[in-house]
Amino acid sequence: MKHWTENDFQKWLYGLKEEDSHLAACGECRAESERLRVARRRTLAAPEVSEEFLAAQRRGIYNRLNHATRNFAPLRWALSAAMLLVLVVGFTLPHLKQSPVTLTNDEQLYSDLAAMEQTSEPKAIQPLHKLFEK
Amino acid sequence: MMGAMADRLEASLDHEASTREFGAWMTSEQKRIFLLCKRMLQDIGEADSATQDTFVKAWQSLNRPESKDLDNPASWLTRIAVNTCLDRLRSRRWQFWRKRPAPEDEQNILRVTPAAGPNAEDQIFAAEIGDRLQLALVKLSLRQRAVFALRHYEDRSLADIAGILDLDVGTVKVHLFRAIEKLREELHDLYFRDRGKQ
Repeated sequence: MKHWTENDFQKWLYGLKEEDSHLAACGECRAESERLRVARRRTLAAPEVSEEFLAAQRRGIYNRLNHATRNFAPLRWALSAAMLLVLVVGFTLPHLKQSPVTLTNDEQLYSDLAAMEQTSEPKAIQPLHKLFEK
Repeated sequence: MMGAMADRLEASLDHEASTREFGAWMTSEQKRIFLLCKRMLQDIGEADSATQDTFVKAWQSLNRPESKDLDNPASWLTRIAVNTCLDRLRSRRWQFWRKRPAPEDEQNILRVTPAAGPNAEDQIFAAEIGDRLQLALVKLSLRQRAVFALRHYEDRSLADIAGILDLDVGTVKVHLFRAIEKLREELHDLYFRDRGKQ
């Protein structure tokens, strides 16, 4: 008759091995399984947690719950508004850069430059000429 | 006008009643959830924050209009706690500057209850091995740690663990088997070192 090994007992303790006919029949293995059951129970004693600590933790949870309930709606609105702003700016900026106004300005600039090249007087003097016109 | 005020009063009374009910449930589950978080995170400060996160998430989830009745609130809460701890463990990998709390702070919060053992020597020995086993949990992967903690400390069935972690039972068995393999030395000392003494 082959007895259960340490490995068998460990697997059995953690639910990875079923009780078999050997365990049912063998007094020695049965006694060992009982001893292990008691040993396990002994080591599982949960530590005491200080009551003050638990009370402080509960206060912390209540504070967070109150805070979340009170501030959740305005925060949600603020977040939505911020996201909308980001979207608007994101959509507007590229359009501003590629706007036809820039092209018109460039064309205007080129034509002004061409006109300046053809006149001997600088363009800034033109208002002075107008002062002496009748 | 009066109707609106009555509705508001009724809503606030409902809110008060549900807060009181939630508070009572929280008090009954708080220690278990805190110890589970402590075992998974191995840090009392982080376990405190994770426990608070767990109950805040539970409250928010219960207060959603689409929330359903729970079949097993304890398992549902355990699932939230385990997922909160797993998230923290994953993000912890990047927090190498993290400070651990002083051991004396830990002793002030946690005291090992004298177990029902035959003598004081056995109790001290069991407590020592228990501590060693808990420290050895860092050898396990995150999933293995969650499975082992739920099985060893909470004595949950494999099917229950599978439900909590959203895994199938076969996968839970594989994780548990590997965890036991990695903790072989500690488990040997826990269960077999004093063989023949009793």
